Amino acid sequence: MKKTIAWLIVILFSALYAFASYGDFEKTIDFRNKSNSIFGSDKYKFGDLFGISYYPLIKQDLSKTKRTFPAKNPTVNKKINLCLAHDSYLGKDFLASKKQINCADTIYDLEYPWFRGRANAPVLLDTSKTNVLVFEIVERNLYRLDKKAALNIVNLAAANQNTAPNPVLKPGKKKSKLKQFKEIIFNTRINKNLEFLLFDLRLFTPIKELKSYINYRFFNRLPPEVFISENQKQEYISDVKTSIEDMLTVSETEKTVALLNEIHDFYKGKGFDKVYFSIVPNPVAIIKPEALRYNNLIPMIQNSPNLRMPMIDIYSDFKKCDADLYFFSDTHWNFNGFTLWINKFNATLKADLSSR
Amino acid sequence: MIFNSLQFLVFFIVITTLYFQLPHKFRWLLLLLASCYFYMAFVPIYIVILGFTIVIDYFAGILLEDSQGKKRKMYLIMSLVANSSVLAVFKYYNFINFNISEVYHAFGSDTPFPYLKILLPIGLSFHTFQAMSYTIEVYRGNQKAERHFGIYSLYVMFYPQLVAGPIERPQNLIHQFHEKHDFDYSRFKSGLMLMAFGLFKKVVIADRLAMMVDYSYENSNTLGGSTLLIATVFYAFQIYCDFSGYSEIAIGAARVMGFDLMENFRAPYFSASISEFWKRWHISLSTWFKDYLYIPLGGNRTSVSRWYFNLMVIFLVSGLWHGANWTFIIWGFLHGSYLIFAIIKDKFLQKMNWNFHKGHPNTFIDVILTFSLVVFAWIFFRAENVHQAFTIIGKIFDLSSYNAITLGISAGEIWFSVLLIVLLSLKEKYYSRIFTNTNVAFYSQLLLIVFLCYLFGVYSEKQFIYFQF
Repeated sequence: MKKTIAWLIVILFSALYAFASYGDFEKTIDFRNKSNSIFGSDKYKFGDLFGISYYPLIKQDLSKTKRTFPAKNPTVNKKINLCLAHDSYLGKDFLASKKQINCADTIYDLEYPWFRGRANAPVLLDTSKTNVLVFEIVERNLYRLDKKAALNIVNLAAANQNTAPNPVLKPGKKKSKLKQFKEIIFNTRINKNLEFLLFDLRLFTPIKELKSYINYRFFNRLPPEVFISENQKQEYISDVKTSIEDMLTVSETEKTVALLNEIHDFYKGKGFDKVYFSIVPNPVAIIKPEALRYNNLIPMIQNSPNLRMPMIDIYSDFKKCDADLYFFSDTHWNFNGFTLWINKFNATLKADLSSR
Repeated sequence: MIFNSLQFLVFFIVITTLYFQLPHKFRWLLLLLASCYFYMAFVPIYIVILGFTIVIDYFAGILLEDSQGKKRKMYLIMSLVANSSVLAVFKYYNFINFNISEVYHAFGSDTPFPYLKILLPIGLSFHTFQAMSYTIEVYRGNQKAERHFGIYSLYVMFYPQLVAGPIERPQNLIHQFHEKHDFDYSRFKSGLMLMAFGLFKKVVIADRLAMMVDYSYENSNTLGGSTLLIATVFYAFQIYCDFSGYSEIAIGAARVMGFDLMENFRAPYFSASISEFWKRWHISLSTWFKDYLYIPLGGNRTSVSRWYFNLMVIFLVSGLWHGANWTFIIWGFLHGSYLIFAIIKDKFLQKMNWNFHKGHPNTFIDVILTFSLVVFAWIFFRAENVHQAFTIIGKIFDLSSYNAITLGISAGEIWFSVLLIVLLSLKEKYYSRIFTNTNVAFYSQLLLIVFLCYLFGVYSEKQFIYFQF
């Protein structure tokens, strides 16, 4: 009997180790997030920031938040071929929003390279329709959008190219079998994977919350990836500190303006009738209960006299709005924020394309 | 693979359980493969260097045993030179080159020698010293040459003590690999308890103190003397908890499998003198230096001046063993000086027939004084360079620089750290062994320690300090 138990332990833990060594599967296991049992996961249920900190006093059940999609809004008569380059603010949960973008016949869903490791699906430009390209990006990720990434995000199909071919990213060197084997055997993510497999279970959530509560209340310490507003109502991702700690000079923002102009001219040259850019404000740019000093990145870009890229400006709408626009324990906007964006997007297209 | 990781936990469970299930004749192979994997999990390629020293010393041992006279000495020297060369290239080449280049700069020219872009293999000084002790003991006739290549490799590579000791002697360890260890529940319990407490020392105390120490030493130019003094005292406990925590996990892990590794720490901060401190701190290294350097140099059975010289040599070498930096050499020099001064002082008191310690050998003042001297030397051990060390010392002794204490962390954290240090000291003084006689006592204490490790642990994947040596 003892021998059987011992061998069971060996087999079980070896399998666990092997499983945890095999790549980064955390993102692929969705079923645990959906499960309501004690073996389900709370990692994303209460927001991605809660999943990092487990701070129990800022905890919003995202599944119970009101999903208020804006009403369908007949926009323009023209048929639109829409390419939407977006980050997670228009991803996954908000993808139902495609229904709200009712102006478009065809929607190409394009993701930035830091989300998607491979090239986006090819885009077919249609000369019988208005070809529109929209870039949506959250403020804190703006620094990641370099020229290379921006000019390669739309994978134009060869048949449609009437100008020079797209400078498609060179495919990366294929990893050798030995390297692949080494990455599995000595997987650097193994601890994260094991933690996910062993302890990312709802039954451990109260203990994690207790640890987080003690650390924050008595030691003023949270995981370095997050911080909490002084009024204890909003959790922020630490990335947004760049919006409050580093003041910007005009020449710094003008570099971004020049990049946006280059993106605009490039895609116009590729056959797009309209190219838009929209920057989603960081929550600290909008919610300032503790007088955080915002560096004014968005207004500085949008008000630059040199900017040729048409902007879908939601910064000013967000500033005027009294309602909560962001989840409390998640990096993303809530459905109020999203609705504002969609309405602004539809209105911008309507105004621009009706007049054509 | 670090001890305070889930990866190690699962690895340890698999290897230990499998170890007791396999027939004895295959166990060495399992442990050897596990040790290779454990080491390669840091930087795989460095197993080649380890392999090089193993092959050299394995054959050196056999040749030493099979030869006589001058040849024996030659084989020993060849083995020691080969081992030292590995250390010299990987650990000291760039340091020596840097110092040569400074001399060249003084004369307005550049060093003719290129710098090597190499990373120091983890735990190199530990396993090199362990390998050297083998050939020396075979040469001295205290240990038979190990003919089983796998067992010898395991002696150098045994994973619990591979990267940060304790630095074992062949007489203590090699025979244990030949013996069959059956599962022993009492060893299992005491081993696990030792591991749990070692983990507590590392993640709850050492890594907590590290936050404050790192902050203070990184900002030593702007912080006041009071902050730097507290940070240095905290560092004394950080390095103790970090290193003794590692040793306890290593000894505990080996004990669970039936192996006895040597004790490495014995409440060193309760020492009443520096010589006592070195009998309680990093025992496996200090005895290594005593056995293989101090005594061969003549020890204390020589003229007084030669005795002082011998003492200074072992502490300078000990400093250099820790790292290729002048800070470590000064640290060694300080400890050597402390010891020589203590000898001179004792001789003087003896001569004058003064005895302050009649009936009270461990006075509180002596312990405090010894601790202060040790803490002072730690400044050099922790500082990035000599200049920083002197800046910190200057501030600590300049009372006008004393201002509000800013350790980059909340007051709650600081007071909690102080509480932990007090509790640790009390435990070391009065409760050195955690009793695990009954199952209830064992499991409740084990669960409590593990729970506290989780609740109060600081998890930053911070490596053990001594891995760098």
